[in-house]
Amino acid sequence: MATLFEAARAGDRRATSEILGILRAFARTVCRFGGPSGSRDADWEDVAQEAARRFFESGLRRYRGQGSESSYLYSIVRTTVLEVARASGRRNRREAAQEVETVAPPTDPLARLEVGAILRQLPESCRDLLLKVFLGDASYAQLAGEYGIAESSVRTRMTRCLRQAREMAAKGAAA
Amino acid sequence: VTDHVTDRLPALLAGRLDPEEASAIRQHLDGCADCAADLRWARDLQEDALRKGLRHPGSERLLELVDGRGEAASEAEAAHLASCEACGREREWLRSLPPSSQAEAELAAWARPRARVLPLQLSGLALAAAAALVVIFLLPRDRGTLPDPTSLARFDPLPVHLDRSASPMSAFEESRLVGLERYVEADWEGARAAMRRALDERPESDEVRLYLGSAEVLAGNHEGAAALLRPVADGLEPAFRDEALWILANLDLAAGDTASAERRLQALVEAAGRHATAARDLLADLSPAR
Repeated sequence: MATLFEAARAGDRRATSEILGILRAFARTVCRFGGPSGSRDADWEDVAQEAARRFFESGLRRYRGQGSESSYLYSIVRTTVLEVARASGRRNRREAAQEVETVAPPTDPLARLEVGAILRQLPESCRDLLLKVFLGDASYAQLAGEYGIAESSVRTRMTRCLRQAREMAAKGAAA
Repeated sequence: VTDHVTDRLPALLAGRLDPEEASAIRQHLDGCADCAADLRWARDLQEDALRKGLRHPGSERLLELVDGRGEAASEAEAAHLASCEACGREREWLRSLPPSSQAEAELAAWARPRARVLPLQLSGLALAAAAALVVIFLLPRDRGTLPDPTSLARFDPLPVHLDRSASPMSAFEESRLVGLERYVEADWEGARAAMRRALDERPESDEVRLYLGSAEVLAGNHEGAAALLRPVADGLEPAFRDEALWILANLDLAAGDTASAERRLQALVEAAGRHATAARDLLADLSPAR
């Protein structure tokens, strides 16, 4: 008999509906505990929706029998709440930074990175892209939306920027 | 993978690839000095940032560590976790949640067929009445015999929905929870009173409308139930919509409105949800009766 995930992969709408029901139940459970920052900023319906998006976009494809299917769905809900809280935290920090910018300029991360000097020599667009991809874990889809360009262009640009930075580092080490 | 794989490195480092793709990329990296150098540079950048608190382990990685799965923390990761307050709060929060085994047990209880769960939650006279209904429900029906809507209107809330551990609770949450608890105890009066208070707080809640509608059916108030359930049957939430359609179809049949029942049953078949098979059977039963 096909499992729930196998049925969903085969396009069974009933299985999809069951999965959505389970994600909703878990989202409700997890959100009752508040958010990781102690706040209640995660609405359980938003969490369920985001968890469903993550599951059907990539989670279902990545599942290879690691734990039971329900445990896997529970993991997706828990990480979704973390991501929602992190995104909310980042937004709050950005807003706070804008308010106090004139008093205390934000710390420059490049000054603390070993490759900071190399990143500083890159064009600003490259530097911004590499920091967002490797430090901010931004996806190509997110960046394509932010820059207003195709996802394939973000991929190409990231490859070119990474190569440029790595070759500059190699030259610096050789010199 | 024959082309360079540098563009896939962020996903590889974040563990976001499916196993086949990750394996193909690792195979390419074994034979491609350029891509392997790109990976080393990117990994060094990430570890340096992690050590200095400029990035945090991904949420999936943090969960792996809390659940004791996956690889042990690297030196950079361990250094980060030892000093990062935000990650400490996140790990504490993850530990405070029910473990997977408990969540799984709750789902297993929920997934049991309702006809078998139903009598376990009733007692006394209600148990005898329910047993009679279950016998009717399970026996093969003659074509054209209509089910009693009361036997089909009851469903079991997920155990996780009855969780009282969160505090403080809003007035809505408190009333909703009391309503569900009374509902499980088959105290229809208590369930109706509490659910009505919840509905006053949040009139748009399809969940409360559904349980209140179900309790009204079980208390014999079919008209009141139908008025509560109609907006849910037109709502956007598939699980609630299906339950509301199912109860309404059976109320229609009890009231002799076969045409309306057939429309609702057809909608259930098309939605392909929990009641699709039963709705198809019922439609087949109705055909010769017309």
